[in-house]
Formats: sequence, structure tokens, C-alpha cells
Amino acid sequence: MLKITNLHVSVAGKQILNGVNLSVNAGEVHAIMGPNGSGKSTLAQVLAGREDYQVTSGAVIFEGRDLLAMPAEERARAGFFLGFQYPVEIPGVNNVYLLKAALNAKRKSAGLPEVDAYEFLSLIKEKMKFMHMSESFLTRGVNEGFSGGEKKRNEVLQMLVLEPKLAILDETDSGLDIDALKIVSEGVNSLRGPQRATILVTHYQRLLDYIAPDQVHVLGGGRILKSGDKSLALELEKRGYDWLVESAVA
Amino acid sequence: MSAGPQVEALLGQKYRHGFVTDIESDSLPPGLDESVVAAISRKKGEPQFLLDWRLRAYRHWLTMKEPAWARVHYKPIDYQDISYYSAPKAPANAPKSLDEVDPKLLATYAKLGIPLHERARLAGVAVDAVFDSVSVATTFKDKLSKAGVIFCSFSDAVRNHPELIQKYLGSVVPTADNFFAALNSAVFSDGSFVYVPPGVRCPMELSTYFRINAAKTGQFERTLIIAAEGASVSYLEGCLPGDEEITYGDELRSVRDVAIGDTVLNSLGEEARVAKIMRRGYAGELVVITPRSPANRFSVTPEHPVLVIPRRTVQRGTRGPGRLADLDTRKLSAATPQFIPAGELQVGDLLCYPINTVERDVPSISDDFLRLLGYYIAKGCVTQFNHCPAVEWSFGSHEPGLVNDVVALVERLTGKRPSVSHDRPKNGVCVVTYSKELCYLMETHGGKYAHGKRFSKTFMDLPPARQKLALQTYYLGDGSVANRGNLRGIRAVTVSRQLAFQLQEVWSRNDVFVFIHRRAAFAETMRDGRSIRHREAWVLYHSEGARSRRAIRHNNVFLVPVLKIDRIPHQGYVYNFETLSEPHSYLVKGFAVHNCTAPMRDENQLHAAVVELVALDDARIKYSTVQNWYPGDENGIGGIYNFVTKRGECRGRNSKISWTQVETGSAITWKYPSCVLKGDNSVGEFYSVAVANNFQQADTGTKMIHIGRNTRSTIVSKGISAGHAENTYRGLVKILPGAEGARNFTQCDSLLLGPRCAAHTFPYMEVRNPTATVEHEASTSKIGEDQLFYCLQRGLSAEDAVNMIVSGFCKVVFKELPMEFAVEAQNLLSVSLEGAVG
Repeated sequence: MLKITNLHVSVAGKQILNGVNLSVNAGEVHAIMGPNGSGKSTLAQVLAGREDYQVTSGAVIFEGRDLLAMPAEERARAGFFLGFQYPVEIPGVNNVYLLKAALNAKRKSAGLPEVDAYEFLSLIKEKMKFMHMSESFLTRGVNEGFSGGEKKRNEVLQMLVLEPKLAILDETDSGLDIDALKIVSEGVNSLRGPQRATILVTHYQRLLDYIAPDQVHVLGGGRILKSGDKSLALELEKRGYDWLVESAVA
Repeated sequence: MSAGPQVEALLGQKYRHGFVTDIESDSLPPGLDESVVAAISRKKGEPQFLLDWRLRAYRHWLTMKEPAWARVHYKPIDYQDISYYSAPKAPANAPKSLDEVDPKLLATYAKLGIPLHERARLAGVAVDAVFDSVSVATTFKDKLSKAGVIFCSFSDAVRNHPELIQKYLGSVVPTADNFFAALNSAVFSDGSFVYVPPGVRCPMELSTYFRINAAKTGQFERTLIIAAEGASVSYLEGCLPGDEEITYGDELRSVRDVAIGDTVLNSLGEEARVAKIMRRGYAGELVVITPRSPANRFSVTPEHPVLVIPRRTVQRGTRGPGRLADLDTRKLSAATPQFIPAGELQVGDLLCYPINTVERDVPSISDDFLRLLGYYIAKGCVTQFNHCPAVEWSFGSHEPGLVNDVVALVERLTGKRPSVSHDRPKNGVCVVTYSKELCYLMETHGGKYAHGKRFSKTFMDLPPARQKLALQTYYLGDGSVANRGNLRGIRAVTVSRQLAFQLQEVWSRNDVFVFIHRRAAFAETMRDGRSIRHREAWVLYHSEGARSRRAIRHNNVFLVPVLKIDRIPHQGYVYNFETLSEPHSYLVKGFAVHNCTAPMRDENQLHAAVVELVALDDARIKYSTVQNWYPGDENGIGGIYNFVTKRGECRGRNSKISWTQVETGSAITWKYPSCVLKGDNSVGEFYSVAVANNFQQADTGTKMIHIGRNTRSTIVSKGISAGHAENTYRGLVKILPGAEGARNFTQCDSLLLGPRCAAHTFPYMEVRNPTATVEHEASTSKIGEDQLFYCLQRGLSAEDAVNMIVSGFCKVVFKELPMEFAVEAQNLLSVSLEGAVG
């Protein structure tokens, strides 16, 4: 589904990613871990099409298409979703209105009829119930005045509505209490299926207790230092990242 | 957050309507002195008190200096270079017929109290299109006068209600108030007057719309609104685009939908981009050209060049016009079409109908689908049975061949066999298939409802041979054939005007020119006494067989003779386009014309209006403005200087005045709608959205002067800057010693799009009463790449994202606008900020 080959990325002249290789197949869940500043968020943003980042070399193929050649909105319509680490507030723009516009943009590009307000309302109410969100979310502005946990929950809600083929969740677990973490994890798990894949960017092993990954990767110094199964996450929790980073330097 | 390349890309916007307020008219020469002031007053037949008042204002104006404190920069205005009086010529005819107007439009206009546009005489109008300025619908005047409301032009008010004018004129904005108000007082030409008597709620929203377009009040207008004790009125000032219709060659469109960057067809039948759209005031004659296909009739200004082969250059003998038989084929094949001003055309000249050469095949559209689409357009509709979307075709029981054909096509396309039901009493057969997808596709490519049937753009671009598949099945369903000797006459009738012209184009691409004429609506009495009302319809006709063709194919055009030329007087706007590439031409009702050579003015024009509102005890006045005057081009050339004084006085207790404005136009806006809160418990409100793009400069805000006890005021100002624009909020809240318990709340927010624009906020406060409460909130934010990227990542286009973010920002103000205006304002906003189209 996604194949990243030798990806090099710089921001404002500073090299952040130094040859990332990663391939994710349909049906899989991958976790990317790593110390602060290792390039995890950069990777997520580059894949989503953020313009401030320069890809200096490398290739990314998503569903057989050259992802890097597609503008951000095209990527989204093709089924790529980014759960933001820091979702922005857009005052005055209704949360549901944005989501409906997003869904319809996607459907339109797939040649499907747009959903009308009534259909959409019943769809979103069902998803909100699943995410344990109160109906007041329907009338509020996008992330306007949301708490940190509410913002993250809103990201997962959007994901459930848009049903992406590939979702990258950038530290969606940070700032969540245990109950919220469970709900968010349930949301993510509900989308698991043979046609879809998920990449979790996280600092904590805790999330992986709820969402069992097929593979765990450690990112450090702009490349993947080590890949393994779930036990690698447990080992990281015990030993930290230093041993990996050091051995990479050596 | 840095504004990155995406935000910048969105700012390369050009304005949609440039216009020139010049009209050929009864004008005074440029210059200003006492004799000019006196001449204006004399021309308008004013009483002595008004002349004295004007002269006082003029003398005071001479002692004043142009204010320099606003954050706007412009070249000095030469006040001796302006013509201060120009009355439009009275239009010679005032026809009235509303039959042809889109009912939706009428409904909107009715709500707004806007006059109805008769379109009968303009049925063929396309490019130099038209506002009818004459027809002030009398219906709403009756309603108003029943309620006792006086709503008329300022001149009429001077004639018929001089006592009210004398009492209230200048009582809110004195002649000596400021430089521009003094100038206006001396030379104002006309404007609007409203008086709502005690206890009356004005039964409808009043609008300046028709005043501006009917009376051409020009640069120095004057508005006076008085709401007597307990009265209330809502007044809209603004410029709504009209319902003029433009043709794109393959499709007819209303002028308001034509945008820079749109693709139109040129005289070679190729696509051309619209680079500039111009609108100008025009008083004079229009040439109405009726070709031998009367529905293709169109009007242009006399100087507008039209592509023709003049008949005399290719004539063999001197047989009657309109006949092709006497044309010399050798001369004809050697002739080249030329652009000739419409005013010089003669009956019999050959107009050029270029054949669309654009071809974009879409292989995923199958031949079966195209054949089914033809049947759909002729006989089908999209409907619902038991909440299931369905497509239904209705045939007569004598058409089993067609029924079987449709059944087979549906089955091949959907894999499902449609149901066929017979309605014996009515001799009908229905084919129904339940397929949401097919519903969607049919609607997308074929339109909806009989009068809304039309082909999609995708279809119109398919190769002619493929289009013919749909054409054939359409004619099987809706066509009829009459044999006359060896001539086969082929006819089709449709109630969709759009479809008629599309069929004409599709036929032309298949080497046949079909003629269209309009059949007016009529009622028919059946033999059993029932009466059937037929809608207006378009009849397409062509013939096959010997000597049948009446339009000649000449290279890549059809030559169609002019049948008739009429001249009609016209006063109002005319439109023109400029295309990006050679040749600078486009199609009007299918016929080729050149860009009109009339220039768009480059100099700036001064607009200095004064608006006075008076609210007596318990009265309410709501004044809403949507202003989208020409702001100049993207380099800051041209545009209107808008120096306006607007002030309302809450003279009585418990009175309320509310200003709502959406300002997207003008090169310079200098405008501070204000409230003087004299009466105890009176309320003043100001809600504003000001958009400045490119080199626009806006210095706007409000003044709230609290004089009475317990007076309250609210200020909400939203400024949006883009490009190199400067947007300044300037507000004064003044609380005088007597204003016990006065309260004010002010909120000023600025939004910046891009790195080169600026926003300034100057809130002045003078509080001289310790019991007063004054609150102020201000913010400046940028549409950052973060917000934009967030929306893009959810699949929205950049343009939709910016529109969404900006209208979110303005939401509080839009809520204050009357509904129709709010929609208009939203549209204006997206136009003002649109860019990077294509």
C-alpha cells in the first residue's frame, strides 16, 4: 500500500530525514517510535503533503501512485489521512460543516454523489456515539475551545467518517487520560481491516497495549534504526533509546 | 505561522466587474463655482431654501481642507476637473412583460423589493447585456403608500414633501460637518428619501438597488431616512449583480456566473480564457440582430464588431435578402469573414456560427450510456419510489421498439432488468430502474426536470460521432418527421432553452445547422373542454433531402443570414469581455463577435455620498450595505474613491439604529457610519466586514457618541486584508458627562492573508462619565498555512478552504444581514478573494 524508498527531507536547509525506508501493506498496523527530534512528525507531515518541507531525494509510492507528485488535497481524496499532533482551531467554521465538506470532496473525486445534510447527520451521530462525544460538538467551531483530549478525539472522529485507506496518527495518544485512550484506541481498531493500514507515531508503549501493532520501527537521526515486532516496544520501554542511537553511531 | 506559497497563490485575484459610470447625458462642463451650484439647483427645479442651503455649504467648503488624517494615500483630486451634473436621458420606452423571467429570480427580487426585469425585448440579449432601468414595479409602491411610507427619490421628495426636507436635511450631518459632506451638500444630484410615519412597521425591506440603477444618482448622492415615533424600517443599500445572460457557445450563462479565467469559445471554435470583464453604464441604442434562426437573436452596441461575410461581396444577382440561392458559390468560397460594427450590418449579411472544435473523449462513458442518455433527455426523469431513487422513462404504448431498446440498455449498463409497467387507460408504458448511480449519472449528464434538461460539459466536449448517439435516441423520443415531397423536415420541441442551444451546437458539429424559434406559452382547449397550458418552448428544425440546407458550411463556420435588424433604445449597463489569446473574440448566442473596443476608464472616480438617519422615540432603523464598487485592477490602477459620511441620530428615547456593512469594493474607502445616541436608553450598533485586496485601501470604522442616559452601543468590526492592501479600523467611543450608565462593547478583529498586507486598529475612547462601562477586545490573526493545510489534508481545495476560513471569521456580522444579502455577501467575499482560477 505504501512504500517509502530512501527518503531524504530538509526544512529550511536543515536535513531532517536521511534515507527512510518503510513499506506498509494493506491490513497492517505499524508503530513508529523514537526520541524527540528524530523526525517522526516530519515524516508524517511530508507524507501528508506539507509544503514547507523539501524532499531532496527518495520516492514514496501510495497505492501504485507517486504520492510526492500529488497535491495535499489529492492525497487526502485518494484515502490518505493524517491525525494531527496539534489540530488547529478554525474559529467560526462549524466542525460538522468542515467534515461534511471533506467527505463530499472525497466522494466527488471518486465519482460518487454527495451526501445530503440529513444522511450526513445520521452518519456523524452514529460515529460520535461510538467516540463518546456529546452532541454539542455538532455546533461548535473546528477545534474551537476544545481541550487537548477533545481535539484528539475529534481527529479520530474525522478519521472514522472519512474512512481512509491509510491513516497516520501523529501522537494521537499524548494528552489523553486512560478512558479517553481506550475510546480512541477502540476507534482506531474499528477501522482495522484487510483493505486498510494504520501508522501510529507515538512515544509510549502504553498505546500499543490497546492497539496491537504488526511492526514497530525506531526512528533516530532521520532514519529507521531498528524494526521488530511488538516486543521491541517493550524493550524500548525498559532500556530507552540511547542504546539504539549509540549503536547506530558506532 | 508563516504565510507560505499557497496563501500567496490565492491572492492573484482580479475583479469581476469593472464599470464606468459615464453616461451619454445632459451634463454640465467640468468645474465648480457658485454658478454651477445654482445651475444644479435650477435644473432640478428646487425651492429657494434648498439653493440657499447648497450655497451656504459651498461657501463653507471653500474654507475647508481635504482631511489628511486617514491612512489612505492617493493623488490629489482636482475638484475643478469633475462634472457635477449629469442627468441621464429619459428612456424612450418602458415595456413590461414578466413572463420570461426565471420565477426563482422573481421570488428573490420580490423579497428584496427590487423591480422586476422585463426581458421580452431582450430575449436574445447576450453579451452587451442589460439591466432594465425603467421598470420600477408599481406593485410595491402601492403597498408602501397604503402603509403611509414615503419612499422616493430625493428630487421627488423635494417636490412633494418640502416641509420634511426642510426640517430634517442636514440635521444629522450639518453642511459644515466635514470636507466631503460639505461638497456633497453643495452639489448632490439625487438620492433616496424614506419617511416612516408614527407607529408604522415598514412592510418590506427597502432597497437602493433600483434607485441607483433607475435614477443614476451618480457620484454625489444623498440619502435621508426618518423613522417617526414607534416606526421601524430596514434599508438595504447595495449593488446586486443583475440577471443578464451571457452565452458561452456551448451553454448560456448568466453574467454573474462569468468569471475571469472561465473558458469561452472564440470565433475559430476554439477555447479562450476570459481575462477581463468590463461593465459600463450605457445610454443609447442597441442593435438587435435576428438571424434566420430567430431564437439566436442577440443585441450589441452599434460599435461592437460582429463577424460576417457581407452579402454584397458574394452576391450573384439582386434577389431578396435572406435567400441563399442568389449567392455566388465561387465568390463565397473565396470570401473571408470580417469584423464589421453591428451598426453597419445589413439584412442578408451572413453571420458566422463557428463550429466548436474542442474534443475531449472520455472512454469510460460508453456508447450504451450515451444512447440511454438521449432517451433520458427526451423521455426520462429522476424520481423516487418508496424513498428509493429511480430513473423512469415514459413512452406511449405505440412505441414498443423504444421500450425494448431502453430495457436492453439499462440491463447492459446496470446488470439489472428494469421494471416495465403499462398504464392502459392512458396508453402509456413506464420503464423504471432503481439505481442510485444511474440517477446520479443521468442527472449529471442530462439535467433534471423537463425545463432543466441539459447536457453536461463533459458531454459537450465528446467527439461529434459519439454525441450523435445521444442525438439519435433523443430524436427517436422527442423528434418528429414530416415528409414534403423529397424534403424530410425534422423537428424537435423542448421546454429547456439551454438544451435547445446545446442541441444546435451538437448538430453543427455533425455538419447540420438547425434553426430554433421560440414558441410562446399558450393555452389550448381540448375537445372534452379541458384546458391545457403549454409552457414556452423551443422548436428545433432542420431538413434533409434535395435543396434543403439554408445555412452554408464555410470552412469551420456555418453562414446564417441576418433576417432582421432592429434598434432599441437602452439605458443601463453593457458588458464586454476580453479574452486572453488571439483572436480576441467570443460567441454571442453562437455567433462570433469581437471584443468591444469601448475602453474601461483608468482614472479614479470620486464618490462622496451623505446618509442621514433620524430615529424618534421608540423607532428602529436598520441600515445594511453591501458595497462592491470597482476597486481598480491588480496594479492599483483605476477604481472608485469612496468618501462617505453616514450618520444616524437616535433622537428619541428607546430608539435604535443599527449599521451593518460588507465592504469589498472601491480603491479607497473612507467611511465611518456613526450613531449619535441622544435619547435616553437608545441603542447604536455597528457590524462591519471590510475586505481589502491588491492595492485597495480601507479606512473605516464608526463613532458612537453617548449623550443620553443608559445608552448602549455595540461595535463588531472584522477587517480582512490581502495582497498589498491596507485595512484600518478607526473607531471613537465618546461618553459625555450626562450619559449616566452608558455602556459600550467593542470587538475588532483583523485577518491577514499573505505577507504584504497590513491591518491597523485605532480605537479612540473618551469617557467623561464615571458610571460608564467600556469594553474593548481586539485581535489580529493570519490565515496560516496551518489552518489551510488542515483543510487540504481533509480533501478540501485551497479555494474552498480559504472561503471557509474567511466566512467563519465573518460569521457574526453576516448573521446581522438580511438573508438574501447574507448570501450575496458571502458570494462577494469569495469573489473578492478568489484567485488562481485554473
